[in-house]
Amino acid sequence: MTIHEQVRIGRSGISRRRFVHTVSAAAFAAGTLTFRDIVSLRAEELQKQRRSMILLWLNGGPSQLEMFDPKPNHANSGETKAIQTSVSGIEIAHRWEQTAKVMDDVALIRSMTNKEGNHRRASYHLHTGYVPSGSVKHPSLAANVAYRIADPEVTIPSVVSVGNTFGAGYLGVDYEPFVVGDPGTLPTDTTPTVDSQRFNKRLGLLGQIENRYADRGAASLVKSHQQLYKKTRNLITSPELKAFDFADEPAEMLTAYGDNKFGKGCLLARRLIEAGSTFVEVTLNGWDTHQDVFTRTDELISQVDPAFAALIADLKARGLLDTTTVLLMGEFGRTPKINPRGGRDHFPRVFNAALAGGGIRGGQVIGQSSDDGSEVAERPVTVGDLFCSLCHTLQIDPASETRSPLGRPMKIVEEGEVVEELFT
Amino acid sequence: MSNPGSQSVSRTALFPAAVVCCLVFGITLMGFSIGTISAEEATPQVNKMGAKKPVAKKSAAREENANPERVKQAKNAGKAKQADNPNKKQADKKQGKKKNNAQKANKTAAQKAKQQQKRKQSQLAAEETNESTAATLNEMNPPAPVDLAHVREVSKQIDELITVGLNNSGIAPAPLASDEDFLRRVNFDLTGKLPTSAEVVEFGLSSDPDKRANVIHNLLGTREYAQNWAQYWRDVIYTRATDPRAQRQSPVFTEWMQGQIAANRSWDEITTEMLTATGRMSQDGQTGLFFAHNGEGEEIAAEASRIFLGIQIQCAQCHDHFTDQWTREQFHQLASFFPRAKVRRVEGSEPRDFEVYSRDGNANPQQSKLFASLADPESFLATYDRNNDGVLNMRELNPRQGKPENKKAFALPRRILAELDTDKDRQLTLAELAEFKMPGKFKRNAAEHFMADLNDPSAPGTPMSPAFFLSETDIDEGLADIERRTVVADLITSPENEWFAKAYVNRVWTVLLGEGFFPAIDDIGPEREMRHPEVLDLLAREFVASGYDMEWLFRVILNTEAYQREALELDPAKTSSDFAAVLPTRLRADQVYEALVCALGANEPGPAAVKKRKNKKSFEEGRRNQFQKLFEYDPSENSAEVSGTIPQALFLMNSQRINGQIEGRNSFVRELLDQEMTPEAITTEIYLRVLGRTPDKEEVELVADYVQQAETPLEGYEDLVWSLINSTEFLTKR
Repeated sequence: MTIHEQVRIGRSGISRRRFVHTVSAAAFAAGTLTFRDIVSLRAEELQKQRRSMILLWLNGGPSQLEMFDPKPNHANSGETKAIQTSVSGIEIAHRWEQTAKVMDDVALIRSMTNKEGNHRRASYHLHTGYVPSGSVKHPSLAANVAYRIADPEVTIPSVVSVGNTFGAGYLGVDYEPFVVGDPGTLPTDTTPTVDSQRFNKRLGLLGQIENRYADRGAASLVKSHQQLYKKTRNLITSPELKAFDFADEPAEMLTAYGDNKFGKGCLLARRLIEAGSTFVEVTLNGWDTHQDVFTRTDELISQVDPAFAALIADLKARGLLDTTTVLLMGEFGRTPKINPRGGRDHFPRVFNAALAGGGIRGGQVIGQSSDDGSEVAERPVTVGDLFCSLCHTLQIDPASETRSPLGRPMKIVEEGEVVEELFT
Repeated sequence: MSNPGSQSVSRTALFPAAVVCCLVFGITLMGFSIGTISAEEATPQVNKMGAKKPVAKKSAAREENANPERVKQAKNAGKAKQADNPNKKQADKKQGKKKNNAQKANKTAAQKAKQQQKRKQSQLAAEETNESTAATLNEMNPPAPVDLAHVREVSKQIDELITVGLNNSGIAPAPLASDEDFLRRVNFDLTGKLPTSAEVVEFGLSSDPDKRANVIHNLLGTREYAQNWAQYWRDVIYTRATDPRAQRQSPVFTEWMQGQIAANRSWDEITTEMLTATGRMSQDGQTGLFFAHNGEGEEIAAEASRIFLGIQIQCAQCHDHFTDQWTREQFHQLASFFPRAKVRRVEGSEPRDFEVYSRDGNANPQQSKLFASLADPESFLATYDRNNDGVLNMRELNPRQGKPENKKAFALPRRILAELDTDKDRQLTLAELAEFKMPGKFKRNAAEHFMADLNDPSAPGTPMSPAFFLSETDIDEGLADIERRTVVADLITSPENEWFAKAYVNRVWTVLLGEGFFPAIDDIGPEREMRHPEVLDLLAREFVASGYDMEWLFRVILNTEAYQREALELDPAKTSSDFAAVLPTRLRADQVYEALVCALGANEPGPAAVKKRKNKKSFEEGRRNQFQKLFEYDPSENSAEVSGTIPQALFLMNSQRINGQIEGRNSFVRELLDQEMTPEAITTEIYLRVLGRTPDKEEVELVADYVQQAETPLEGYEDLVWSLINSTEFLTKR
């Protein structure tokens, strides 16, 4: 069995630690490779194979007409004009000037369609692949992905979110998002107040005390708490922790991304993916533009546009774009018709999304909305279709199952098909 | 925040050596006053009469509520027209299936006035309580006279019912929890705090057979009880807030709710206050639900149903409920009670303040009714065509001539309708009326609720009239805001609506025992799987009979054996403990905070804090808010799904806030070491203080080993405190 094949097994669920142990033992026995050789060889393979995803979440429902589906020749377009992009034939709204330059790497879906017009429900649906239900708390896509492909040896959290987001549901502590409030600085309280020797002794005492409580009828509570503490300790001692701190980042990089929370969040996302995280989400609030849609999206896009474009260029320059899926979207679109307050209201029937990386062919548009933007004219893409396509980029089977607490088998998503055009 | 800990510090400083010795050597302490604990504090005062609202008054209100003959004057006015409304017809058909129908929750005007007066009185009592919260609590709020025999009787019945259930399924109940575990549990459940080590020891030593009942009684009279549950309800409402701005109102809500609970206002009164509230964000806590959702009628309807009825009717917002009987129409009829409650900025307020107000003004009821009825042009024509010539002239569109306000109200509709007159003959035919489309401008101003057209989200949708999905009561159309909100509050809190009582009972039971009668705390209702329904029925019935007396319910549940059993995790092979044991649950953020304060005296600012702060209060509040944000979770979530986060662990492990207290120059560990106590006594005191229990033999030994190997005993014991603070048990209600 070649290393390569074994890595594949590793990615489909066998942990890397186990893999290293078996291979190194075998290699030692055969006397062919040194332990160190094996590890470094494998690290390279893994680096190549490891997939990850960045979700840029525009919270509140961004207007597709002010994004990537402008209607310059229709009254519904209001103040928004269209501009050319680096790909001839693709036009996007005029505020997205930086994004226009990287359109070769970006695929647009203009025919996203859904039924949920309530923020909470729609956000839940687009984060978990399911509509909310009282009986089960669905894991987020992030948790589902990390559960399947996160490298257990990486010491920083596999799921990170700049801003609040949905949790791991029944998948538990290991896949809960690590929420970052202030991107660019070390998370607070990552340095112990006592020296490392004493810190370790404390942890040892804690372990003994925990065992006593476990015996008193709280075994699984203790287990999950200990899991959390192990993760936290790993983070504290992790050499990768410095990924959170921008001190070593050149100033021009920060300028390119934008010196604001969203820009910094995107830069942090790239640094964390590089350091081994599997899923990073960066949220920008404020897209619920029931009034003054033009002024308000102007301001928001001035943050998102440079950050999104810089992220794609940066990932590409580092050779990470092929293995990193980037998705830019919100929970629904907005009404094509401008309301009397100069705003647009909730509109799940047609919205849009931008994707890049992860093997997606850039420079193309999937689907089309009608001339006035009021309905999907061509190639509707459902949430299920989107999820299946994302799974495809991450080389995960969307139908692979986990078990809910009540033993119900749950797929990542229950319906939908891969949007094949994205990859051809 | 209260209890700066000075008192408890001095207590523990004097106290532990003596007690621990007694424990170790098995000497009883009966009749022995220790440290600063006075005999008075130690003696429960059960039958003290107090200034609280007498129970008799409540039962009078209850009888009035239960009177099935009450009829509201306005009630039938809309009935005739109702048959013309296709939406209503359909809804009624569905409702016809239900059994519990003949509901007449509305009141005569006289009764209503009486009720209002009563509310006003207890509201005043609540406000008074609010104002004097600084005063010592037991003086201000002594225990109410309670029919303890009846409480005992109901608690006993519950235990008997549970025992029958357990026997039938061959499950052995867990033994009763130890005194230590019980005391810690009941303190967290009522006051949200840890008992002091002195209280734990003393409770264990008392031989009073009624000591558990007495503690329950005493804690129910504390200010902390009201505070703890006010914080609970704050979390219920604000962790689901859809408007982020609402968070800043949460202290106002908490204070208001605390006043209500301290005055033991009944749950139906509190619910009614919340549903009918108007007022300012900065001062009127009862407006919380409306600000939490920025006055959005659909969200408020959904939350009112979830919180007060335990029914997730919002699933029917976009489609008929998949698993329950509720229809989309029913959801939107419920939302139709709230469209006129609006939020706006208080003009000129600085800093910005907002208010919930009734927007009845420009949406005249007749105006809305007129537009609403145009959904069906034929019946519209039939209604207004007074001369029966098959067409409408403009005069016919002015139904009540003479009153100037009516003329004004109809000016706008008439103008709009005039535009339908395409052939300019100053008459509207049926065909012309059918062309009517709700003008966007009118829709925006219309303070009526419209059910969105799913196929055309930009269309105004179908105008809806208020109706309550659990009752057949007819409701007037076009009621003013407060009228219609009062109607829905009455319908929700009516004793004939079993789900109001059941939702509250199930919620409180779930919090107290770690598990409820339904798998989810806020997803109950007629079609949900249920365990021990007979217990819920009994409790709900008695809760209604008590006049929705929240204190009474606590008293009953806390006095059951079911509550007082050992806490054991759920067997992973099972979905329920069937109340054979209490399930351990995670403490809420406020409880963790209080536990830290009790264990470490953490709210005495550390040295770093003294240097930094200028304004003590705002500094403390800022830190408290940060803490709250870090440890907060939605209390309506299934507790098994609440898990810790890395930032929480980082805070407990590494923050200066915690470690400064553990290792600081004034740490309680140093104080203990100064007492020249035995190592075992020190360990015992630390366990008592942090976990509210004494260590077992093995724990004493493992600590002794650890301390022996530490650099110094001080470091060893500091590490013990650190470890206990970071343990699972510290964060768990056991």
